[in-house]
Amino acid sequence: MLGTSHPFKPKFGGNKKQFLPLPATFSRIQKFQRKNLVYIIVTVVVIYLFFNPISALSGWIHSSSVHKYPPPHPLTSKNEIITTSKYIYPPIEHAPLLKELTVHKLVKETRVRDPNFPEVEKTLIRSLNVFDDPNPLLQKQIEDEENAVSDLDKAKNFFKNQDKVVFRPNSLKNYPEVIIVSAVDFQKYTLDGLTKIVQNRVDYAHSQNYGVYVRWYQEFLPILNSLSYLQIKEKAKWVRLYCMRAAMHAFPHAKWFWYIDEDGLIMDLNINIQQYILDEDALNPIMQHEVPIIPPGGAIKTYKNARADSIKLIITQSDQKVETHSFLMKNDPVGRAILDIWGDALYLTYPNFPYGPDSALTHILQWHPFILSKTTIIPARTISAAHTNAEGLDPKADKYHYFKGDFIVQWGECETPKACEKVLDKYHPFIEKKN
Amino acid sequence: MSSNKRFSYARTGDETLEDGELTAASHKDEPLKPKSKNSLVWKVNYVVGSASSQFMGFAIRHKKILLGVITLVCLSLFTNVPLIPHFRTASPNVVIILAANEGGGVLKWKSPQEWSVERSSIANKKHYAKTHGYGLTIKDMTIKKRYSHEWRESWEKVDILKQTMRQFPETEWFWWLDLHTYIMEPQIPLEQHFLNNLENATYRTLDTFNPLRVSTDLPYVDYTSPIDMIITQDCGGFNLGSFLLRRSSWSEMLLDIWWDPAMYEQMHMQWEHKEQDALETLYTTQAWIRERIGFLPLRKINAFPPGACSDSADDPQFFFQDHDFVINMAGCEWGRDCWGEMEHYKALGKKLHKKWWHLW
Repeated sequence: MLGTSHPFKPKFGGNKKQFLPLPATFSRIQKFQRKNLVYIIVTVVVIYLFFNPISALSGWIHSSSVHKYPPPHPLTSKNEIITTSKYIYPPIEHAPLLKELTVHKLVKETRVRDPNFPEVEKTLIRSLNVFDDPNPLLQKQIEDEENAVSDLDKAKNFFKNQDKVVFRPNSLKNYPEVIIVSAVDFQKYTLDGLTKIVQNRVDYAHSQNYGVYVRWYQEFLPILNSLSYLQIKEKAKWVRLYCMRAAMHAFPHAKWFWYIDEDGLIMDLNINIQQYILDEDALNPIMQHEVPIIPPGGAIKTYKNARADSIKLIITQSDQKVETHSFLMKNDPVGRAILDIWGDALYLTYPNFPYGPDSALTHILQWHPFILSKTTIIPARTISAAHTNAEGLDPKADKYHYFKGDFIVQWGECETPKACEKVLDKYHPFIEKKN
Repeated sequence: MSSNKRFSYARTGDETLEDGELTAASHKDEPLKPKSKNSLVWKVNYVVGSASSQFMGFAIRHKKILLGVITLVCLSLFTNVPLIPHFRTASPNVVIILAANEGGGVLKWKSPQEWSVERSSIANKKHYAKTHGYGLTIKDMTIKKRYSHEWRESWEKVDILKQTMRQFPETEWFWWLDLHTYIMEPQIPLEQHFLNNLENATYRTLDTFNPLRVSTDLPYVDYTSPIDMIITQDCGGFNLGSFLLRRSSWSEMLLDIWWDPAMYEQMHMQWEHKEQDALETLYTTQAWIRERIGFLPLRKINAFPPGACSDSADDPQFFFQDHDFVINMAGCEWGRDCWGEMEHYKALGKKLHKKWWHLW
């Protein structure tokens, strides 16, 4: 309309003589406008189709989650006790008091009948934490009052609270990358022996800037759900897995967790486990490929082409079976999943596993190729050299027993608490201290 | 041959050693005898240059046509707009796994009704997969010898999932559908239905709906992990008639651990629904399983017809209502009429999607 009836003319100037000519494209200005409209529409359509700003907008609106889920919590309680010390261990000096109290006072036993099988009576073992006041401040107040009155109550309260202790530093800088995990049994070693064992872990962690996580064996009775399990050597081994899992909760950002059983000592505090085993360059050459899971002739073998960067579980082997006196686990979703399934309640109660978690692991590795591909067996003398009384062994040829200069010694085969303590005392003076 | 010769001729500068000449000399020679007019490189340059200038000329003259072509190509390659052919080379984002022939094989003949049900179900999924560019794989579940031991019955599901994950190595989501399902709203893509808004569409703890009465609390469970498996619950517990699994090391591990002989030996008397019960047990006891399973309301991907879940027939949360996404005629082979139900829902789907200008 504009263009046809009243062609565009400069507003000013009129009939006067112009001092500047009109721009060359001036008369095509309307055409330009129509063209622009087409371009604008096409651009808008293209932008809409490709970037879909409305759905992007709606996505942005929806992005805040409507659900709130509870945070992860420790085994027996929903509350945590936060510490900034990377050495987490129970007060060892309470050992005689705990022995005096006996396990019956440290856990709650109830007799229940299964609704489906009312004729069978079962014992249910629960942690004393179930009787905690839901308000942690109030609970602390109550415990403080008890602790002031009686040493036995104090030991009991510390015992039940140890599960809640987690490491939450103010900053993630300097976070320990490896955590040494041990479970100790106050009914097996004397106070002196326990002190030596825990001090050894702490000394090592201190010299290498690692963390320590130590728990009492008896604290895991609620999972074992049977007092007899701790009396049987092979069944007590299950505690290793549950202690490890608790450690992973206490140190969520550590990279590796190293379980060393109480029947063992770190003999050389100068060796850095990461440089020695965990780094890819260190692990690749010592991984044992195509080794039967059940030596010497088992049908299932470790993978030929396994690589260090995919390994989540590092174990050793004796000449009869896989061993878990000392093993390493990676702290990532797959590592935690392997640990969880390994300690499953159905394996725990399975009667055909004579060596407890060792048998369960043998079974898992033989039936589940995914887990086998994430597991490696390394020579026993690296992290699990065994103590022996035999004389005249050849340190060059022997692949299993401890010789002077090895990193770790373990005496898991000792029969009685007294004998175990004797071996501990034999090795303790020879620990290589930090230079 | 001749072209080869010419090629080497054009590249004398590089092949001086073969010619036995000194490099320096040949380099010196080059400006003195310019062979560029005859050389292949020069010709190629000329052809490319003239073609591109011609193309530029064409592009400038026919801007609108060019713009239209580019738009069409982009729409075809990057969108799902109808009426344009879509060429896809990339593997699909979602693969639908349809279990056909369940329990079939040597035990009995397939009746005409069963054939018909199978045809309808497959056609329905094919149409859906094609509309949204998803993959579809139809897996034969006939009874096989390797599953004939009572311990291995109905564990094919796990093997088929593993096999399909190998078959589509780039695909992220795998949607398992039983044969007796029918997608009632095929125009809805899964992304829009819930995948793009997974955290809000799903629930992870069983506080609100818990037919199995599983303990809602388990130590160490970290719900900040991503969701790798999406399932539904019906009146009797988990339902694996329609579920999704995401490719991840988690799902690899789940598929590996799902069937375990030591667990199954202890539980095979209680586990009537085999893999379903096994998953329920894993969910009950294993923190790593629990933290990556998300639940959708049943009607979102797995609505039931009135015949199923007859014990809680008055609970509307289980049963199909108009415009629910998928109907699952679960258990229709046990005393109900699969074919009748399938035909009913097929007809209903047609009726619900009748265009307003179709008067009859």
